[in-house]
Amino acid sequence: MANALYGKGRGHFLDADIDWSGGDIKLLLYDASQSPDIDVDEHCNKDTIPDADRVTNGLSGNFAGKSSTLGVADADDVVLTAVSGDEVVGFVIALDGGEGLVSQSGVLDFLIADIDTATGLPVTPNDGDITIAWDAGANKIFKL
Amino acid sequence: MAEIYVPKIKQVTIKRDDLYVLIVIEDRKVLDLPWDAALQLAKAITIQAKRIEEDVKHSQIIADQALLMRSGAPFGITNNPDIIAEAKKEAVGNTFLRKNVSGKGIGGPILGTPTVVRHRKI
Repeated sequence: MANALYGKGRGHFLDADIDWSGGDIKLLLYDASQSPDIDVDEHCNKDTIPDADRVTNGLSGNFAGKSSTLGVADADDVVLTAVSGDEVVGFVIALDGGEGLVSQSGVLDFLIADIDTATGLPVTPNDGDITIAWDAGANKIFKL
Repeated sequence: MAEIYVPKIKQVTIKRDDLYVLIVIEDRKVLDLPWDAALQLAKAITIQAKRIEEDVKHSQIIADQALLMRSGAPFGITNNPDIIAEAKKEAVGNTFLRKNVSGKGIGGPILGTPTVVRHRKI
């Protein structure tokens, strides 16, 4: 697959459920067991991305330095500390609506984007840090 | 620049003579070139011929390029800026394309390509 916005996430943008600038946006690394369903998956919980598909310390903090000028979503680069576990093949970007992306079946955290195409992916964690540096081109993280 | 004029050509033959490429017109040798020079000449002829073809077929190239742009294909078929500019107008404005091609490359969401950097464990 290619990098894509979740269909239901786009709906949540239209319904004002996702506030890029004001909300808590995070990313979550996943391994090869995960197979995102871009027009079906909606919530970032463990029903959608089980623990077995998650990578140790692969959940980021809230994005800093966000902007949404002209519909282009951007933020500061993200650093994940002491990442370990299976080979990382991609990550999701999601709104933390209050459940920290770690609830079992919660419906408050919305999936926004799936990124499986990036320079440096797949990457095998070595207990060191992993930096996600956003595209410096016109589209940054994504453009609506 | 040297120019070769060959009036009233009836039969042109290109053949090999040891390490040389010969151009023979009606059994008379008019040009012999070392193989590497012949390759360069052939390449130069091809480039110029392609440029002429691009001019002659520009309408079709604009249409094809517009279709590629509208469908979001990550490649093009020309690097001629004038043709690309025309193709952009077609991709946005052509009624047939607007009806029949969804326009992923025009108005849909676009994602950047980030870089993932693994640092050495300290």
